[in-house]
Amino acid sequence: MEGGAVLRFMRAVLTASDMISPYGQGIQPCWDGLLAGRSALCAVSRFDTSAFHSCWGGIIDGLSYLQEESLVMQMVASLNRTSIPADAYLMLATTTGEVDLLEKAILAGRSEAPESALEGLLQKVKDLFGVREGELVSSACISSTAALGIGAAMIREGRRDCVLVVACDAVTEFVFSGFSSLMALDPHGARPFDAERAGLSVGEAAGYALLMSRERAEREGWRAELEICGGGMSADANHMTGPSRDGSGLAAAIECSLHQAGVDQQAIDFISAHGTGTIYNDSMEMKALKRVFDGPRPLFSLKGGMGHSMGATGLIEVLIAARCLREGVVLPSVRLNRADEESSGWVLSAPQACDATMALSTNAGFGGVNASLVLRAPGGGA
Amino acid sequence: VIGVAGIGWIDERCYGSLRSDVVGYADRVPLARLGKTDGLLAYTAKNFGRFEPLTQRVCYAAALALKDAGIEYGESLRLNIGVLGVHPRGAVKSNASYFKDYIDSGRTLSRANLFIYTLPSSPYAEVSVHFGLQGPLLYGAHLGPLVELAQGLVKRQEADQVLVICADEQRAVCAVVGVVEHAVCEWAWLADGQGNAGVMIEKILDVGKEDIA
Repeated sequence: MEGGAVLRFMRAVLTASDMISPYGQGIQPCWDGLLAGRSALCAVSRFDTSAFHSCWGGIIDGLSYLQEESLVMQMVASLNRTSIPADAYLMLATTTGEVDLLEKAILAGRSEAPESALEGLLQKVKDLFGVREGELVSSACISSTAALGIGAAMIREGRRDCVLVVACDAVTEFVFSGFSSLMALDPHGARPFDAERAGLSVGEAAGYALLMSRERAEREGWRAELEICGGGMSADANHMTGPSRDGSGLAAAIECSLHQAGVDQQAIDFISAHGTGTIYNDSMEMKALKRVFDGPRPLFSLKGGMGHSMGATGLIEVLIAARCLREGVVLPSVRLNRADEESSGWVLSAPQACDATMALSTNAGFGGVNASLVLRAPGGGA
Repeated sequence: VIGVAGIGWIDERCYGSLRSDVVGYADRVPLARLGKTDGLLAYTAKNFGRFEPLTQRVCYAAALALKDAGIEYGESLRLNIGVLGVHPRGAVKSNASYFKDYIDSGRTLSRANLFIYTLPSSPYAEVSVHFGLQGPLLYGAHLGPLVELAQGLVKRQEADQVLVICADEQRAVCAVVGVVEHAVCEWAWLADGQGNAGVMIEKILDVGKEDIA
């Protein structure tokens, strides 16, 4: 994917956000935990994990399988939703949504569970946030990155002036057993970019990002927390579950996002990487970054701290990257013991002060999909 | 202009495209073998017989649409074409198949080859892998927003063309969206199917090629 037309008329800024993660309710506990290098991974007790390759997961305290409401709706309902404009265009990003409703139906002897369809979740989230219009974006583990990129592009091109991206995915027996069957779980818990890494840990999270045109944000008195100035997506066209070994697919997505942002790779101060902890993903990601960048940039993954929250992961990573830009600190990769050869000199094991104005956020997923976003601190350049 | 360059479709009995005749197949060949017997696929898709019927139809519709639009593909070619898909209820059926199999196996072992189809984007990922399409790929719930998104991706040059695929349990229809001299149909016409592949195919057959073009 070479180049692309730059059609920037507006600027897309983040004006409000919230999240819930295994660290707790809100961005602050997540930030504090990650900054301290503390992992929220634990032994999963929500279901029996004894038959699986790992018992480790990123679980949110207080969610219950026993409630009538699905796990993701419990998470989304806990978010602070005040002041969301009713004309915001909702983009709901998820992979399996309310799949725990399907689990219950199958265990009760039913053969199907239409109530678990993603379209039903879309309607529930629209009702919860009080917005009129919305669409679903599902593309494996790049779902929320794709939604943010598309939403920001819609604002830049003047097609919308307010987009609400909501992202959610839960740890269920369904997804846990599936990742175990793929031999993708690290028996010792995820250790992204570590020389001894052996897989991922499944995690859960939900969050939202309210994007607006800068003009509307200023007119209505919203404070811009971040600008999303470029996005790119690509597919490896290689394999359903394994990433392209040479990183060319992700590199194409990164190049596209840089072009859309109208900046060169040298403008990027740090990288919030996908970093699942699988041998192939992390290796592919480093190859992609080395194709694009002329030298190392401070890099981290959140997944040793909170697990891989699938469709929600991109949005959570953007909210944390926004905090990094604001605080002038790049986070460590939690649970990193010894960086592998490929990521050595890039990945951080301790926080690093950084006078940063621009960041890159990357994700990849099943089906060989890749996505990248270029993020800018508010007021950080033209 | 950015418009529709070609359309291909398949249902339980027939297949066709805007620029070709309707061909019946149901009484002479099973769905899984159609690609070979009728030459719908330019080369064999790996594990095609194991794909769900929905994924098989989506692949055939994509092949017919690419041919209709005059786009060549090959095993060693890589194309900057995106794939956007919609089908009602997403992966509900394949989710049930996976989890029921897991429960029936004593809740200890599950099958990875069933799990990978529990994502609603998986049928479209198979299209991307088979046809070598390296553009953006995602699943949405409604056709209208996907058509709008396809336009945007082509306009921003994030993809040269985009396949917009609408499928259900019986049918699949695929439109190739790109820069064209003369669009074969209007955007509103394409989006008017409301995410229903059957309605789209009936409209193609009812309206007739001359009227569409």
